[in-house]
Amino acid sequence: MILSVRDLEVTFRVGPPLHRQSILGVAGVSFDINAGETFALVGESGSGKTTLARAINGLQKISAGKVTFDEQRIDQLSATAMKPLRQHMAMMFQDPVGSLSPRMKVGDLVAEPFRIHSVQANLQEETSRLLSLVGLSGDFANRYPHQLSGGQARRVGVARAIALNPRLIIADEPTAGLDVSVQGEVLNLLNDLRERLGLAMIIITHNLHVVHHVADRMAVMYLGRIVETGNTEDIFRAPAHPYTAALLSANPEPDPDKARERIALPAEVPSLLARPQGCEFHTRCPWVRDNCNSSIPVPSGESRRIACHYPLAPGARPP
Amino acid sequence: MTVLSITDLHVSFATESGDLHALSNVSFDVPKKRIVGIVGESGCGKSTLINAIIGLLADNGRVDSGDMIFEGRDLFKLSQSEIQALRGSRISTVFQDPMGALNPVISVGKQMEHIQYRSALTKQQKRENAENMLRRVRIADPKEALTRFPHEFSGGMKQRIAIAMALMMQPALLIADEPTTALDATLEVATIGLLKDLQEQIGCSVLFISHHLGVIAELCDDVVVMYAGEVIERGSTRQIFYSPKHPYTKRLLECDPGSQSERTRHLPTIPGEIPDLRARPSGCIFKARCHRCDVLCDTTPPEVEIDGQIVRCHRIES
Repeated sequence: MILSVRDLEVTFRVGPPLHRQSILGVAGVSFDINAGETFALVGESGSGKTTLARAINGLQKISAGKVTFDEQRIDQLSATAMKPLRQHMAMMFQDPVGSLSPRMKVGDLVAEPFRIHSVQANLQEETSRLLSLVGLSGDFANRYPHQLSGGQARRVGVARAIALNPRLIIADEPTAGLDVSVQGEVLNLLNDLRERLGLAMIIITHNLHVVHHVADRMAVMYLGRIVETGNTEDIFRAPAHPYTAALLSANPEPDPDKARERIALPAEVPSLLARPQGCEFHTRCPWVRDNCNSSIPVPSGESRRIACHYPLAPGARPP
Repeated sequence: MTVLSITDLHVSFATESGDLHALSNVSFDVPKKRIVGIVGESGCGKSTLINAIIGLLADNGRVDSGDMIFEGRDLFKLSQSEIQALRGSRISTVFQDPMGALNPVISVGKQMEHIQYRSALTKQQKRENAENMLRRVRIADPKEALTRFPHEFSGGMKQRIAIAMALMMQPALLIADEPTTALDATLEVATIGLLKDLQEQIGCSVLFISHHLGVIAELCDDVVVMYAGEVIERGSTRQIFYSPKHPYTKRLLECDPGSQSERTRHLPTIPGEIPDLRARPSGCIFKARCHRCDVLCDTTPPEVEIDGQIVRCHRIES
């Protein structure tokens, strides 16, 4: 096991100074990631995916819970103590061009991790090795970020992330804003590297088609909690949490005549300032029953964990 | 009956390193009461096309040639004030970011009244119109919603308010530019469903721009496929998705991870990049990336029609 997260919580203070309120961005999340595994986090925007990723990496203060990376507790570490660990835990940020300094050339950007972590290496050699690994020719080293297309900038981001042979990559929306013809290239590249270097990956995305093809396991988040975790194929075949079922049924497919059996949800997503009582999904759940608004469902199960009082049978339709 | 008919449109931008030919030879129709989807990847000219239709090209852009007939009038021959009178009343738009379309410091109700400034209705009637429209886009408690400000609504609701405002004046043509890209799957399908219902009720035509093939397949009646500023194929949605004739369309559909139901670790791609539009290559625009390309492709490809499906290619896929 490379990463283990237990009961992780992140709190934000919001509102004007005299009326400060606390909201839980991530509300008690637990999961494990094995070496060489691709793990996908899915859920609506605002469900806490990015906050969770930043909390694991130490970019976001944790208010409760435990994060263990490579058998070492990392949630209490100071910024200085955290720094050397980041060589082994790389992050790819959402905006491919925005995460590159506009004043640095690609060559310097790719060599930056070596400088930051004072890793002795022949920078010239390493830069050209990394650029060729991500499929960019050597003359890209002299370009500035604004001279790159979105796909090329993303490749530079990948080169930076894998520069120091990390054991885990956290990729936040690695294909957002990319054209479909290029999206495959980036995912294939990450997958090749995963196989060759044996690294583990967390992919955050709301593209369910991508999850289906690249992730070994997945977790579905709703209002800062994981409502279902399990093998990607099992979940796609038979989602057990009503929210997962609705999410998967909503996925538009490029087939005009495909029969669509949608599970419609009321569009009102509850505010984090007023979390519903009991099961937090009960306000939108088509299968809601009497005790759903009073008692909180506890995630149960081993490899497949579901936080629902009444998990769905395969192929269940709303009553 | 066609609402909008575009013929041989050429648009270019003057840049320091020469003219950039953003649109070349673009022709297609938007028939009455139909939803026409425009598919294409970044740099294919989707946004330039919209800006050309609503007469809002950037200062360095110009229409080199072509006709744009909207409800029987050539948009390129109208004066600024005549075009202005069409925008918002006969042609309206919804963009990707609803927050950009709404004024953050004015209540939703005020904005919805303001947008009816051309109609001769009283303030009270405008308010009622606004309330009705919000009800039609399924905003709960519309009367109260009118008094609220844009930031008090969620992303999906803001986009529904933007749609309500765009359809307020019952336009003949609604241009929707990636309206669901910022939304999640469940909200995306809800918004598409809403758009389709309203289009039927109002009887307008929709020009729907997206790079999400699944959304296009679900919503549109006809599809126009663009590549590097050219329309390379157009036809009914079924024709395009079930029997694509242009190699680009075929490969693009294959690239969509949603089109493979079997799980695969290796996703198909189209290697290469779009050509530099300052120096358009002669012949077929797609030839550098095409797996079917041969010597014939150095000459301009003909427009071939097969059962109403129009393809610009020498080497049509069978």
